[in-house]
Amino acid sequence: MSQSIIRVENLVKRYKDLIALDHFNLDIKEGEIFGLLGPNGSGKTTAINCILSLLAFDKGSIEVFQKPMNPDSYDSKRDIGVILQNVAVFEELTVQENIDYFCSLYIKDKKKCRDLVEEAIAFVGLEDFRKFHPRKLSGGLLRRLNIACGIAHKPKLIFMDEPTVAVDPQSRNKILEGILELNRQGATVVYTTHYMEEAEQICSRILIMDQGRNLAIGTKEELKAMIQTGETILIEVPALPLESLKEIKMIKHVFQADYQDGQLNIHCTNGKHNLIRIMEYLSTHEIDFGRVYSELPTLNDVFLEITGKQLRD
Amino acid sequence: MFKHYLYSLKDFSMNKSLTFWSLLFPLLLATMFYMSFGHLADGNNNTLDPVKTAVVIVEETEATSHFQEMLSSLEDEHNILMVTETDFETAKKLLQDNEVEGILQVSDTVTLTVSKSGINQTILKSVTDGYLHRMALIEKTAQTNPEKIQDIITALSEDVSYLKEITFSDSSATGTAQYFYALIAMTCLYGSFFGLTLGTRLQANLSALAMRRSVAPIRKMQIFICDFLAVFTINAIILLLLFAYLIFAFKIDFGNHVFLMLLTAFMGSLFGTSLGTFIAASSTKTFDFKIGILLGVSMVFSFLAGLMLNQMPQIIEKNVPIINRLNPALLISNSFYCLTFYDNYQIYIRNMVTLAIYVVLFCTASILLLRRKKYASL
Repeated sequence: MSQSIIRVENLVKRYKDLIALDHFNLDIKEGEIFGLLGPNGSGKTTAINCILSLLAFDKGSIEVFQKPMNPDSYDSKRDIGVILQNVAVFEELTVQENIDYFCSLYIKDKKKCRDLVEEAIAFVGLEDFRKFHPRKLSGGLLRRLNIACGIAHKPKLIFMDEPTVAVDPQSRNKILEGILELNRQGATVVYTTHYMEEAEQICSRILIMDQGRNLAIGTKEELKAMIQTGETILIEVPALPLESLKEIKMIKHVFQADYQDGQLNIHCTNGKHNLIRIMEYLSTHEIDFGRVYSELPTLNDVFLEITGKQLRD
Repeated sequence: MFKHYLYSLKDFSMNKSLTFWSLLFPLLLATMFYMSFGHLADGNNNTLDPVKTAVVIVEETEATSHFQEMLSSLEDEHNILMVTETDFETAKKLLQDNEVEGILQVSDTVTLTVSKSGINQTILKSVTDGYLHRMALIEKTAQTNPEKIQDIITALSEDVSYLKEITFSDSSATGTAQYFYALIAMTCLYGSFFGLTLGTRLQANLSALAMRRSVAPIRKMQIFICDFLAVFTINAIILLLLFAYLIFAFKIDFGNHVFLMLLTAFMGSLFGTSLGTFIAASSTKTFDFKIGILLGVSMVFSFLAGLMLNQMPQIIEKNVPIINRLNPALLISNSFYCLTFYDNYQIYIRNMVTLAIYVVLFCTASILLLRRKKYASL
């Protein structure tokens, strides 16, 4: 089994009366793309800033590369790359100069640094913009520059704090593909997001958190297996007698059914032929229906069942 | 490290807002200063146009001839007035047509008629008042001490000045240069805005750039030194440009100690930068709030140094002299005076050492506040 790259135990961080991290635990293994998933304000960024030794915390312990993490843990920092939520570049330096500056904070060898800068430019697809100043770049390109500045030195551990916020779909895909490629090259990635689709798409393990606490952790399959919902069936029904709704709830594997605005929303546990049984019921009782959808559970369903609220609430 | 210095140099120097306030604004002020009173530096009053004046002799008396003598002296020797002797009607027309600035009607007394107010009218009033004051003095003497009347007339007819301008140094600098000392001192203190930006970029709780640099495997001290040197280089270049502008464009004479004056300005600039850095490092308040603090501190220093009330340093020297020993604005301007007018190196060196102590204290405090720091919030 891979060794732990980050181990956080019982981390508590308070902002006056607000508890931002409430006995937060984390164990990230080498080679993972680990997703920290939670709504805005759930403590994802606070957790990362504590791990990076930027934020002081009240209680708990943090180890990175099996060593306690402090502001002067330069050996550990050398192998860490950080892509911050806010774009952090010099406004008056060009794309190439910015990447060169940040890379040279990690790499002393001038030639090696030069080569790495070229690789990073190519990696994020900014070859045609190397002489541009950041203010001349679009939002998506600026995010790519932000990423290049964080990964140019080829770190073993990369923190990415919501790198796709306010990014167009094309740049977003490019960024996600880039993260997978970095992982293939051997980097462990810690990825925070409130976009469940992104977490599902790239993360090998996901921690769902809210109000500074771990709610659930596992692969996306493991997380989905933790909840009751195995399938969600949506059917357009123009008119549904109340008695029928009660009977639908009694069908095997159905544990919840709602009818609102001409739409029947049925939650079933994981079982075979759920859809067939419901369709049979509607036909037998001569209830007209329109379009039918069957969806497997999402991470949003996981979050919804655990917390009672939507991920983006 | 040199690469980081060069990149910081480029980034700071291309910052338009900082460059405007630190370079263009002082150059603009210098130009305005020069346009306002720069010509006084050459000590040549001929550059003032003589005031066109109509003189109407109402009645020929002994007093009238004295007054006429005085007028011809002001016209021929001093080139202050350009006199046209005429009758009152013509004089009135000349005044209406703005051909003259005022009418002097002369009899036993002198009356001045003007149609507007301005510098020229003030000069005419001053001439009239001076004459009337002398006449009153002569009349009073004639009544009280008639035997002294001739001595008084002789004394008053001589143009005597009891003040003589001397300098304690072999400097050729003029008093006008003082106005530009204040400007240079201000430019030095404006280095604090660079320092403030520098300090902000080193604090992870104040800027994303600082966050990124804080997670890098490099000591903050190293980054601080690179940024500080970059800022100092820019300030030094700004001061060199300002000196060059004043010396070559406006021919301002700073005396024989231009290099020591530059050294003073550089030290002042170091002070400004270190003060700005310290203020940035010592508080988590917003950038704008700190700009307000810096402006406030600079104004207090400048006020105590006599920017608004030039007797202020003397008042402080009499009551709380320690403030004068510590006020950095006064230390800078006082150093310029020492070099220009007194050749007093003892006070100059004391001022420089005090400024150097400030720089060391502020830099040390800033580094201590910034290094190895974890923040309570970001």
